[in-house]
Amino acid sequence: MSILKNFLNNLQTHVIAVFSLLLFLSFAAVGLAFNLTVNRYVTTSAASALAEARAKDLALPYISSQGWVMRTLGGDGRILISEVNTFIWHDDTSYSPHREAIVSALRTTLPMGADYPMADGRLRVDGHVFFVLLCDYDVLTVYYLDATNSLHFMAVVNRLLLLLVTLTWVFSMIIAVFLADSMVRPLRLLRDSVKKIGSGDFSPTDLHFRNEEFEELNQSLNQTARQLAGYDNDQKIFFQNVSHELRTPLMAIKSYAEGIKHGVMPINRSADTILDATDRLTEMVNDILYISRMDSLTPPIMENENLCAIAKERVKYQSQVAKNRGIIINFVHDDEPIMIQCAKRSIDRAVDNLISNAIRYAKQDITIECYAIGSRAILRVTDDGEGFDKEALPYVFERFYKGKNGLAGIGLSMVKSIIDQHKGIATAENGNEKGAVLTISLPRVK
Amino acid sequence: MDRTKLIYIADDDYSIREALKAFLDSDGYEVCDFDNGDALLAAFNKKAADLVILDVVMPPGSSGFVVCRELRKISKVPVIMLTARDSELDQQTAMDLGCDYFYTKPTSPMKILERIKEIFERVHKG
Repeated sequence: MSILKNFLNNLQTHVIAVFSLLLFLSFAAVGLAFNLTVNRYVTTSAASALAEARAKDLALPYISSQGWVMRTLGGDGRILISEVNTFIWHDDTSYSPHREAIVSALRTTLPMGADYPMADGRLRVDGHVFFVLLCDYDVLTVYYLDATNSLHFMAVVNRLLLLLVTLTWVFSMIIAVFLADSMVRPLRLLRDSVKKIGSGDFSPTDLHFRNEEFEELNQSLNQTARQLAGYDNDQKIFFQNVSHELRTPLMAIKSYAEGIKHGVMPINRSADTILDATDRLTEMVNDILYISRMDSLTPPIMENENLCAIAKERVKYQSQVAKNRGIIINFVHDDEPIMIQCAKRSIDRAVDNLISNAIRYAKQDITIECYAIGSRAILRVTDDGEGFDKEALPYVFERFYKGKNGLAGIGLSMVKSIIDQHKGIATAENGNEKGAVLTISLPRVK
Repeated sequence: MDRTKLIYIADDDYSIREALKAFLDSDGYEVCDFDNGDALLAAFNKKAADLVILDVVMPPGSSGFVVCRELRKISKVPVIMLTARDSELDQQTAMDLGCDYFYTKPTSPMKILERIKEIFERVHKG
């Protein structure tokens, strides 16, 4: 049963079956129509001939002698200038070939009684086929037409037609097999390409198709494979970088913990370094998780929010961390709300990353400004640290960009991704005298 | 009396440099640390060290592989590579360039210290 099911589910089988069935039905319909038409023609012609013969017969002069009716006919009973024979049922002297057999056959079919209906039909007697017309006026007269040859001819034609239909069907099956193969083979090749891509092999295929649609599909698959190869490569690089950047703080933790254990490093300082490294690791892990979810998240729901209120909230959140490091945060903002359309949690994260980045590199002060210029909402974070290396400025928003003290992360990369998502701009530059300046600019909602 | 062995360390991460330096100091070695490989090479050209510890990835300057290759042109100084990259290819590359030992971070500073002791003992006997 499953073999049958597989057989029926096979596309090639479908194509062959449908194609050959359609062709077969077409030819069969033609054959049937031909058969019916010829049959009808023969029958109609016979009926006309019989009717015509009867009319002629009625026009013939009758000679009546002592109750018998005689007519002037041809010697074999044929109506003059006609293929139709005739005889009078009860007149044994009116000769017609096959009369005995016809009468005998008619006796078995006709109901007994004086009234014979106007009947016509076919009789098969003596190896012949006759079209028969009975007419009951003064005497019961039988007109008959030997249609053996016509019907034999029709039978021959039918047999020829059947042979032709069968041969055509066989031929069409052969064509259907090739046609199905030409349709299914490219699909199989493309299916194998897709399987190859699915198994992680993104190398381009060497396939080319003459059919435009298949070739287009092939090119699309190759392009998809190239894109997937790119994504795969990016992912590998990302994980290599993640592995690299996670191992460094882990080495610091291990080294300082061993330092404490073996008494080669001061406890407090080592503990601070371990805590710092742990914080960095935690931040990095959170950032990595957030970034990995960003690609798969459905577009966030945007709502109107006050950028200044968001910044104020994040400053308050980071204030203890800043205080622990001896950093003062100065927050300057417009009195009026500066409304933006945003996913609040994402902007919270971006602002957090800007502030924590500034805290990391600042010496004593950080200034956070929130204001509007025209149709833009601006948030600027300035620290009094050493600023960016000029050569490194173009790369500060790249993942795993390393700051001057060797600290790397994806925080600024995430800021850029979030701001891009909000159709904003993130920029980095060095301050006029010292420190780094990170600015985000977002479209305002009026 | 043997002179104090001089060890150069190049790693762009300050805390790792500081930790290794503390361990090596405690064992009586003289340590100079650099935050990039080019500075280490420049220093080595002025005064050769007895052993070099190299990180591999030290942007924006030369990688540990380049530094190792350059060192091998001028010296047979023992080189220990310490890196956060753990691929077999990196390890093979390091060995092909003349590195003597390869450690993947995070690794124990005590292990590195013991390895350094072995190296110097071997050099002393040799």
